[in-house]
Amino acid sequence: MMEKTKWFDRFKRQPEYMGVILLTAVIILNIITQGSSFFKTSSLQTLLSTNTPLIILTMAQCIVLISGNIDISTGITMTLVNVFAVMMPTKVSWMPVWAAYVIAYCLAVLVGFTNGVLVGYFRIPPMLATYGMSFIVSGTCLLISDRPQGKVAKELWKIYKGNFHGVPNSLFLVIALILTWLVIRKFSGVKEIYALGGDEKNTYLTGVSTIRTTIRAYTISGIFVGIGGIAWTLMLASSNPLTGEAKTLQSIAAALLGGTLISGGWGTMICGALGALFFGLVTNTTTYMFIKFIPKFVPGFSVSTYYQDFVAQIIILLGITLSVFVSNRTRKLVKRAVRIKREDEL
Amino acid sequence: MLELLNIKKKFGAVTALDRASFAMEKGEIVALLGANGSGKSTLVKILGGTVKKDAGTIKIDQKPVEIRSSAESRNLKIAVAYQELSLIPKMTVYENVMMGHFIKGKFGQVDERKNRSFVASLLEKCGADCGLDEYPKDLPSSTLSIIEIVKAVSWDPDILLLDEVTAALHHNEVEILFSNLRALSEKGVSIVMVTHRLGEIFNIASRAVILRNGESVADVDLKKTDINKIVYYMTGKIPEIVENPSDEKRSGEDAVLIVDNLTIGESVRNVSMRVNRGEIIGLGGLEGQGQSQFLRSIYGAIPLESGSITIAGRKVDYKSSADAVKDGIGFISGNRNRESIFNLRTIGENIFSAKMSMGRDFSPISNRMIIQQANQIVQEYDIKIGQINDPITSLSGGNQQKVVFGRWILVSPAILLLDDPTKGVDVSSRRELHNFLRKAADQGMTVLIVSSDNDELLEIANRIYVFYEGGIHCMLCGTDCTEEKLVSAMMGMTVKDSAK
Repeated sequence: MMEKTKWFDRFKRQPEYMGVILLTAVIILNIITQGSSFFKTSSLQTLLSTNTPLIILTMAQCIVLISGNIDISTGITMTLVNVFAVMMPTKVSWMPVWAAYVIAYCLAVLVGFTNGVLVGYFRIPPMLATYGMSFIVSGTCLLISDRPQGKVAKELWKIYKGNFHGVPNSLFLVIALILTWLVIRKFSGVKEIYALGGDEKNTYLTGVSTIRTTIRAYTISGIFVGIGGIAWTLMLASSNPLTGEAKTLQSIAAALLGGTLISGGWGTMICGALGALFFGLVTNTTTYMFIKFIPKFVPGFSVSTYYQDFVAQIIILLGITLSVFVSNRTRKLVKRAVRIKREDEL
Repeated sequence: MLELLNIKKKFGAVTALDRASFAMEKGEIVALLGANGSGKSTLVKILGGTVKKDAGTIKIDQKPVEIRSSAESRNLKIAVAYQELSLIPKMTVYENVMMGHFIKGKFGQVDERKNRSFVASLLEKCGADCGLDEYPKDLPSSTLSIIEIVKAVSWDPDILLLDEVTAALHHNEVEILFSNLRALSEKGVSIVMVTHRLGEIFNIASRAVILRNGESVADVDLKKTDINKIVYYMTGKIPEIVENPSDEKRSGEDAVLIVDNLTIGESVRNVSMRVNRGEIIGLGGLEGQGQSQFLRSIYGAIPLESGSITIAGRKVDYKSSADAVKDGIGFISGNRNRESIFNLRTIGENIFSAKMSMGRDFSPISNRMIIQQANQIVQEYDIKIGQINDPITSLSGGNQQKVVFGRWILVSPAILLLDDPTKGVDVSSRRELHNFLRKAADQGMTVLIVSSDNDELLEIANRIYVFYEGGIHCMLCGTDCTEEKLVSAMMGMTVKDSAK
């Protein structure tokens, strides 16, 4: 018994704590509204393949949030990967499809790196730098293609939307990325990112380069956004320059849901994955509630789909409030009574 | 092995270091001493790579080196334990200690097991009472100080700088620390100790380098000198012990402010005082002995832990500074840019700002009203400005401070609190400001002024409370107000010390 409470106390102090609780709650809600059909391969598969891009994007957002910054160009960068990979082979005759994907992916990393340089080296506030960047990226997307068009080879998206012995393939992708995270978090470079988000001045005093660490955080983010972009392409099975940008704010919301703090230094990529999954499941469960569950008890019940969004967003807002509240409470900054407020003395 | 020659550093118009020199051998423990504003922190920061020197040379093993960043300082095997701590609150103790130089495994990953055992052994040696996975917020400040030292030591430095690290430590912790430092110095580590506890340095250091006004004035062998001599070098005065502290229990009828056993964490301990109407009270002491926090807690900016504040016969418990202002308390900070002026606003608006907070949220304010009232203050106190609509940044530091003073005169508070208001202000402005304060006090305003400048305190204060390590060491008034006595009280000297 003693061991158990200790284990639970430790878990309560993990950043993932709230994310796990919220996700469990929403899964139970899903099972109630949907019954056993929730576990059917086909429904799980749709659910995961639709939400995987958001999950990956949120993981990318998390590492930037941990460094104490923010990136609002992730959604549009994901779109750039999508548009570039699908449309370039049709426009440039010599470019093979595989090369388009590789270049598109590199572009995403480059965008991340550039954001890092702007924020870290030129000290432009992250909100502004990445907002400006999002316009450049968005312009590039529209230059390549200004409307939804194009096609992805069926063999490609079939892999993404397929399954292996009943387990959706997109789930393997997410698991692979989480494993990647579990490996990279062991490296000092990532620990420095945490330190940077925790206290920039003290990180500098410790002899860690804050410029390099900022660039590192944004570049890692770019690497993940690139993968997200490819998943997004395979999910859409075409190119669409318009719908990706909305995912940026969703990913920030999802990161907060998972327990990452916007003030930096706290959270993990797993938090991001949990939060994004919660985000997707809430939308899923409200749809079922309005279409199947309530009509079962109230015959003839039917409302506009906008109400579904309304309810889903309220649940998400409540989730964020709860999560941020809990994270902040467990992570209240040290009140250094000894620390004198006047720092810039001689 | 370490040699600093003629280091110079200016912050704007203020000279922090001027011809400061310092040298030490391998394995030596040297104390770096100095009174307020002597530049010892600046010297530590230059070595730590957070402040760049203007001129002078730093030599390590006879080779001149440049320290441009904190990382370069680490590369030269210099490690600093900062007084304000450089720990990251959201990371565990073990990550905090090893940050920046984790022991790496085969693939470049952090070798958790090796790191942990390394940190654990260091913590145990230094007597830190904490687990590896605890977060700094759960630990008492004395433990945090030890962790800060462990963090510096973990870099395996050749030169270890300790900036006031003993301030938060208990007596027995200091003993353990000193025995560790001695062991380190035997291994060849050179250690620089900055401390205000003069008694301690005789136990640990062999030599003391003393700075005064940014200049290194003396390099003394601690075996051949005594505490009076050191204080003399630091301040230019031979300290005189206050033998019969003035009577605290003066029964003034019109006590405006009564503070009883005020305590704020570990920075202010059991401070009591009684201030009468129209008095100018000086709060002296070395920097960071709790004076600033004390002043801010009266202003409602820092919540008090225990004790009580009575203003004009009424017990108060301010939740915020706004409450204090409504009750007729004004506050002027010496940190003009951050805590007192509105950089982008005009002189008139800066003067009017306190009055503005008095009104209701939506009471109309006309530009003419602001200008008229501000002009009145400017004329009455003869503050030298260009146009009332010029930005406040067009003025010199001294004049800015006078404008801030005018801001409070406009609302005529009963009590005015000043935190080192004349820091970096030229002599003539300083004198004018003193005249303003006297004039205001004559009209019945009560003034509490914290100052790091002894001359200032002696010049304008009726009585001086001297802070030492969070408490009031003694109170000086009347004939006791001499620089010699003030100096001895600042250093926390007691009758016992002088007998040494």
